[in-house]
Amino acid sequence: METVWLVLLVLMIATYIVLDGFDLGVGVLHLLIARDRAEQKQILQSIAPVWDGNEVWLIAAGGTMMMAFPGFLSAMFSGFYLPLTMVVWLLIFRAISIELPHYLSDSLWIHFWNLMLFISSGLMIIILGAAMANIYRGVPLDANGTFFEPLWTNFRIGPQTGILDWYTILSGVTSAMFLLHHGALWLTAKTDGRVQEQSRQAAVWLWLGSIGLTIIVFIASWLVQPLARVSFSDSSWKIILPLTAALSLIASGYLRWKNKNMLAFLSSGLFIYLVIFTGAAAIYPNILPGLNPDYHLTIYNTSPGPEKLTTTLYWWVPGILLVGVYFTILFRSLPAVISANSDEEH
Amino acid sequence: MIDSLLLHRVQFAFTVSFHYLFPQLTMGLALLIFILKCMGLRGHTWADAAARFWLKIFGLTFLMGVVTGIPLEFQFGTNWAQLVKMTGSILGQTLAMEGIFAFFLESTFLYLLIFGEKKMGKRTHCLVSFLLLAGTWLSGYFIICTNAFMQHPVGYRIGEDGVYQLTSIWALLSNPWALKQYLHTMTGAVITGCFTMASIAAFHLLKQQHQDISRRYLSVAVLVGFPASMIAAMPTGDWEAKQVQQHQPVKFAAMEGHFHTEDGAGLIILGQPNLQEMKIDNPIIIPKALSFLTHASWDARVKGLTEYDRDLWPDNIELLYFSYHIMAGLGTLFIALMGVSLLLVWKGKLHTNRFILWLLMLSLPFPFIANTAGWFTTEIGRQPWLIYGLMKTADGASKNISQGNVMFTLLGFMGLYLLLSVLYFFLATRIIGQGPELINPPETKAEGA
Repeated sequence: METVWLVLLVLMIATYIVLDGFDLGVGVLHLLIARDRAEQKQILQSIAPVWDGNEVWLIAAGGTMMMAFPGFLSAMFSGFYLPLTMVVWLLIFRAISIELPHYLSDSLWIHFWNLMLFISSGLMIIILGAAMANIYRGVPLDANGTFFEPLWTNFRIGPQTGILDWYTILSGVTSAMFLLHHGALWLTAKTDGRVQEQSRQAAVWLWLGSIGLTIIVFIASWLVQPLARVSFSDSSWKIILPLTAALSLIASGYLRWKNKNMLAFLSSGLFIYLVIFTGAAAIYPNILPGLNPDYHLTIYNTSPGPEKLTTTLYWWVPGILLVGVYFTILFRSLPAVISANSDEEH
Repeated sequence: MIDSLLLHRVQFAFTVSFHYLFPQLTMGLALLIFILKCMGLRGHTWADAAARFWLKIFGLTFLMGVVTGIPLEFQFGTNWAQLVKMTGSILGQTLAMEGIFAFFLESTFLYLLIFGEKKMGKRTHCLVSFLLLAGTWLSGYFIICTNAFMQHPVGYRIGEDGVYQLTSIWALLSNPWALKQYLHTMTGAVITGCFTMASIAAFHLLKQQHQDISRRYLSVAVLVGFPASMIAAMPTGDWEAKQVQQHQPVKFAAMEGHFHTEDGAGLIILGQPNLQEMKIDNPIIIPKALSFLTHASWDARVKGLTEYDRDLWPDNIELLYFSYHIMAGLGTLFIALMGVSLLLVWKGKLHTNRFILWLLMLSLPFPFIANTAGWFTTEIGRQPWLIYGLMKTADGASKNISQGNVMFTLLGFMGLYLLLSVLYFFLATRIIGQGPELINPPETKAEGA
């Protein structure tokens, strides 16, 4: 039952990254692609209705994590105290810089908030990857299952880890590449005219970058976490996860080339899901590896026990199905294509 | 030197108090907007225009509520890691439910409500406003359930390792404490919504702008606001006080400023608590009223603070006492002001009575103060307990974080929230300045003719 909840939790976190990933990516791209205010509006209209709902996945995942693995949440959140608090600040900035321009008419102010959106989204897409990498690499847990990591030490992986080292920075850059690619595909699918053309070109380069970095990060991850080697050699069927991930990344490029833009976007989403599941599978049944192998936090020593988790499924499953209905309504209510000169006000 | 426990407490208190300024308004406005949409359905086009105007304020306030709410969930883990470790599987239930059942509902239907009016029929649009109302009120319920567990724990068992386990989700959700606290909190939110609406309407009427529409929604605000003000005192406030007296007698004695056990205890209306001499300075007291209110008998015995071990006293009795008295005092004022306004609505004279309009306009901050003071009463009064009677606040905080780090994040939040306040004030003033008619000229003008 712990495994079931781990899968559900990873699913929620991955859903957050896939969904908020494209709007964060668009938050960065809007300043690079748009030439004028009309194009900026066109780009931002494609995420304005959905970013809030996308972000709720993070909140819901947090609640689910607290319920299913309280030991994990308490160790992780207090250990990553500083970076997580800063993430909160970034999320606040991101939210207000998407929404405030609707209330403003002064172009200087609008410009300022667009710049804030660019910065906060850019930092977020890097941090998401660095955060995943920290969990995957492991942290200096003590016998009480707690730790505290400084922001950085000497950027090397060793007994004195910092939140930023060469591996987590590499992962941060990689996740930025993935999510920019994901965002560019969203824009290719949802816009027309010059913005679509530019997004498509950006997507080509970002796709090539994603392929290169995927290979590098895959090798780095293999070296960094010994648990992964054990895990994949013990249950070799898991190899299917990275393999299908690679296929979906290739497919997203092929589909874009064939002008099947929405499918290319979905394929890139699938790729991100599979990368996250690959990472989770590599350290399973640990949920937060310790640098000292005696102190790993596992799904068993951080959860309240199987029978509690089973009863929770009775409300959780219908709840998530209901969320699926809301999201279907929401995404179907969006216009199929957003044009630069549409009078659709937002 | 300030110890890190105090900093953790100040940080949570600061962020949660700032946060709650926004949801109390959105929960109240959600009801009023739904009422306006229903009136619009019956052919009152002014109500549709008013709903559109209030939705703009709602949207901005909702955004502030969202961004200031995210830190709270994070802070459970970052600042109160021990609490999460021991009770997370219980508190996480209601928090996860809030995310899944309430936040998704709100985020989806807020967008459809603001931008879908042209595309959907009137009925559907009214239904969407109902779903948004349901979302915001459900969200409130899950949070109250989470708080109620900390005030009055039910449905749990403590395992051998000291970790709390949930024995009944149903007990957690139907915690009798939660039901009463919820009703009281929600009437408080409705009062905030009504006073805000009345205050802005009064502002426009005094400036002689948007008169037709302001006059009408002012009446709606008063018609809802008067019963809400009454219900906040009787029965919900009374229920809350009685359950505090029954289950948290130390809190009750401290908030009433009742030091010594007495038969036929008096109700203190005014006065400052003097802890050195264990008495109230400059008191104004209604004799025997406290006994009557708590036990329905004029001569019943009410236990005073000195009856309890000093370790169990809340650590800031003065602030607790004043919070409670400010809330109760303002509550009385709300009943009076809304009562007079209702009388004038009935006589058709409210929109021309400049004196009452001035009072209504200036009353804008008071419900926010009253609601905040109410929460102060609840939360300061619970000290020294984090989970009442079971876990001390000192045992719930994260242990591995230095004070410098907590101070850093506290200052960061203060700076950021100052910025948010300025932005909110600036933008809300702009929306209010534009007024309801400008937001949708065609329909409103047609109706006015």
